[in-house]
Amino acid sequence: MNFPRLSGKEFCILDQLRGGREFYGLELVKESNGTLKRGTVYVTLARMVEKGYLESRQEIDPAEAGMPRRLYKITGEGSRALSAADAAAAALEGGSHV
Amino acid sequence: MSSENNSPEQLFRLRPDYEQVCFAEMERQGLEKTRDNLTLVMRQIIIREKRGQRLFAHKSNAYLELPAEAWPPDVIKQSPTLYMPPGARANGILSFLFPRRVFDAVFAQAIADMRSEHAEALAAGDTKKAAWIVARDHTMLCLAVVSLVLTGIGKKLATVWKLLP
Repeated sequence: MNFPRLSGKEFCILDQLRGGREFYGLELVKESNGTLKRGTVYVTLARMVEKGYLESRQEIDPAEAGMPRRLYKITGEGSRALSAADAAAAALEGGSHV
Repeated sequence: MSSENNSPEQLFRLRPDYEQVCFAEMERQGLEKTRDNLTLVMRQIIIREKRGQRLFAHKSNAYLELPAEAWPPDVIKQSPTLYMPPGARANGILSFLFPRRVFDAVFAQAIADMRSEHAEALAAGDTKKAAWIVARDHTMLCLAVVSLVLTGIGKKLATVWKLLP
């Protein structure tokens, strides 16, 4: 079986989106305590959407002015990758994901 | 002036808050709140507003015929200044340089974040923080461009590497 390998940033994003919650990119940056940077978060998110770990939808709110923003949500593939990363981390001594 | 020109609809076009304006005027003049007094006050307000509009149009036309240096200081001070939203120029350049899909997923989101945080800082009256947010997020946009280009190059190199025997 081919286990997907997650980078530290990818793991951080999937970890925050655990449980099917939807987040904006900026919210992910703010809640990551410095792991995610504003300059690279959207590049990482776009790459994860391409890989199938995340799905995004454009927020449609006619009352909200300005440019439309995207909400990100974990997919089944993303959940599987996260579970595999969790299992790998648990198998390691100390159980921390690097 | 005909009664048609003194209708509530006519006044509403001039002053959307005409009811409050009429009642305030009646109180100011010490009039009772009767229908006749309401009509009287309404007529007075319409005449005053129209006179004000004519005066404004006259002044505007007069100023436009003069060079800007000749305008009185209070007119120059009152003239509105329109500011572009932060990231407007970056928006134009990046939407031209990158495909629509990439622009929407990466740069439009970063610009929307910048505008949101900038507006929050301005609403809190913190102009220094607003300026800092604009400078910081433009740097981050540059970083995103570099990151995106490097990722693209990395992908191409990986594809070529896989094709090698």
